[in-house]
Amino acid sequence: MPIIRNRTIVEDDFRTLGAEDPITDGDIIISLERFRAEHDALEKRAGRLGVEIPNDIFADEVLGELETVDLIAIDFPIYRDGRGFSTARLLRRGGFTGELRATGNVLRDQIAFMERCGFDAYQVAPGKSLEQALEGFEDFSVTYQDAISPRTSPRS
Amino acid sequence: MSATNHSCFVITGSLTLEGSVAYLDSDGKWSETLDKAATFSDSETAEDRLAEVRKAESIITEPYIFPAEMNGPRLTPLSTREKLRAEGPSTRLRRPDGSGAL
Amino acid sequence: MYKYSEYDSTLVRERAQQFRDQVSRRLSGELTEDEFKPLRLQNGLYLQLHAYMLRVAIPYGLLAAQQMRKLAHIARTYDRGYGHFTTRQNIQFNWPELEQVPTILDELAEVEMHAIQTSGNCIRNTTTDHLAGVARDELADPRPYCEMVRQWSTFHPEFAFLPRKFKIAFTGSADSDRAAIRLHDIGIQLVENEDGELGFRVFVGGGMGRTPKVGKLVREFLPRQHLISYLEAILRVYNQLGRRDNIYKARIKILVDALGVPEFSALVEKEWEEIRESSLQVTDAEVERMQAFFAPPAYETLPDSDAAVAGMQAEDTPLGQWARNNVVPHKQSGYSAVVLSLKSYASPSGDLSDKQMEAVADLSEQYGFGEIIVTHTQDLVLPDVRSDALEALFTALVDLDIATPNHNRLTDLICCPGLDFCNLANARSIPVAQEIRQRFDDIDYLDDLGEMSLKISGCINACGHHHVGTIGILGIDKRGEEAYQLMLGGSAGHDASLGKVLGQAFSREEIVPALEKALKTYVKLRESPEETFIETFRRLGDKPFREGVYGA
Repeated sequence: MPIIRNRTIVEDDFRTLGAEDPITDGDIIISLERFRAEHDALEKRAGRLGVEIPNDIFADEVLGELETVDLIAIDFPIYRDGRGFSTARLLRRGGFTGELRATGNVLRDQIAFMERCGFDAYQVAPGKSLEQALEGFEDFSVTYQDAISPRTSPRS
Repeated sequence: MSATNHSCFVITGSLTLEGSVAYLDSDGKWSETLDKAATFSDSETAEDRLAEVRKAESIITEPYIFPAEMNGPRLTPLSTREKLRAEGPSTRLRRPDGSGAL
Repeated sequence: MYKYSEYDSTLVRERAQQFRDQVSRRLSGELTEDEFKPLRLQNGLYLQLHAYMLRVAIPYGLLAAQQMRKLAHIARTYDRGYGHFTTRQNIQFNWPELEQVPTILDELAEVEMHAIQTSGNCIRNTTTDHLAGVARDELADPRPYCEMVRQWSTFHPEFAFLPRKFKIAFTGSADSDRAAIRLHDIGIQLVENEDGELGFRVFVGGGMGRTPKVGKLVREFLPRQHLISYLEAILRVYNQLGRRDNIYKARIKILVDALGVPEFSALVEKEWEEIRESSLQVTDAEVERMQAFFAPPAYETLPDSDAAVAGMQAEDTPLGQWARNNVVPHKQSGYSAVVLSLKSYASPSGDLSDKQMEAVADLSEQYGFGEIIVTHTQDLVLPDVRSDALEALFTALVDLDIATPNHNRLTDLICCPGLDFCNLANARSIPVAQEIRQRFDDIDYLDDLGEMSLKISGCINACGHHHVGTIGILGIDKRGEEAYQLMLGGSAGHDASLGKVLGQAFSREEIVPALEKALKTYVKLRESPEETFIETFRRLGDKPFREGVYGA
């Protein structure tokens, strides 16, 4: 299934595992619960590792343990729930340098804000067009606030 | 829930473009006056019809059902809110320059 | 006033374009109403009882004459010839059509205006004292800081989907708080420390609605350079911890109550530690840059006019009455500030026709420097009127029906749109307000009643601020009928207090006579005509008033 990464539509090279799927080699995304429970299996495998976290978890709770994973996916259960924006910001501030992916109810109209909070990849809401979502980055050419990946600001 | 003697249900919403009050009529169109509204004798039938028409979001926004009563030929909503929606604001807005437009 | 840079202009133009695109995607079906709704709300577009309603932002209530003219044009061209000024210093248009709204936004962008974040679960218009910059009791002008907060909060990428709306207000005066800061999510008072440095007292968790609260002091002194980083810390804590399971428990006031001030403030300080030294710091250069936008206008050097104004006020004439009530002392010698009462007997509080708006724009230039202030009590202010021109101005205002001499009197009442217009309301409010104005139209009687604020809300959402009226009236639904609760003893100033419901609710026919009984009780029990209603109430409590209104 395609995703957006670095403002481009690409095939998702990670495989998201369900709760019962066996841990394998390759590039996988698993839940935080499984990450914590199945450490041994994870140690033994080859490939990149992504962890999916719910949006109501605090960044400082997971920063330590997720420091070295390759990808963190933050779920947006409903577009109204903006906690993920803070979580992303705090993960970046805490030093996380892997892929930060927004999943769930990702709307084209939020995508520019998400990027400025530190996301660099997006799995858009089911049924939504990725091309349209990409256009969301172009809505504003200027911003008032510094971003994690800085864009122009009135002070510069 | 079934209707008692004269009471019934009406489907209403806001026209998406104008934002104005509209009532579903018996032709399945949206009329801006209450007297053209289709009436339903019970809420289940009304809900079923509502489910069909609410899909046309480019025409109607946030449609719902409200109870009303037939007094002879006249259809009257039961709540103050629906009466105001049907009749317009009750306030008299006289402007110093003579315009009284609401 | 603040002048848009290329940045600001680009932003509002792009925003208008973004909304045009969103409307078109809504009409094509690409966006469902459910998805479109938060987007249209973030552009201030509500769907009300009879029509859409567009709420246009007026940052901290400050309007230039040409902006007022544009509002008049919009009222005339896209609406029904009038606008409504609100209790958050904004303006509302009650009848725009969906497809025209992007064009309205384009037109607003031409005069550096917009409808950004005037609704939705985001940071709303930052409001302030309607006498900012001219009040004698002002420590410093809060508007440069309001403008900083406006820029910081506009399209803040992290705080666009908060648990609930968020309102910030500033005051620059120590003696009187004309901005009701303690009734805001964050209320900020400009203060000086012992070294004469300017900083802020910060209150958090005030607000009205279902669970009214007076804000709690969270920080006694915040140094000036930390204003933005501290606010960011508060918002970050709120965004993460505010409740999202129940919209009636989602404001920050609930969080502050649940945690208690010590724990809440500890969480804020902990986050603030991390960002205090970041680029969010407000430099002296930035302060000067902002202050330059609000530098005093080219006042003429005039002799003191206090005696002359006092002389006018002593006259027993309509001019005298108006001067007593609606003319306010100004820090600049020879000048006055004038309240234009949008509380005439015929029109709902806060409404102004397009012709009146054009005339007010002209008057602001003729009798000032082309600026108009929108108060948070549904009035306008001309901030810089030469005192020797007051009489001429009064004559012009009488012709426009905006000279009612009732500022801070009973009929200077705040009234929300109520069930006649608003989807959220339980009862009509405007007809009650109109009945009150018609019944109590004797200016001498109103002057004798003295200072008071009457505030009417058509539902518990309290847009009429009924909790903080000296007298508050709340419209409720009592078994399908409109009914009204009477409350006494509220105040929005530094002595903020929430009104108490007096007793059983009244019917539509009974509420105004009940109000009259409360007024009679006050007159009977006051120690002297100088003791105000709120003073009498605080001295005696609600019992004698309950007896006076309901009978012993």
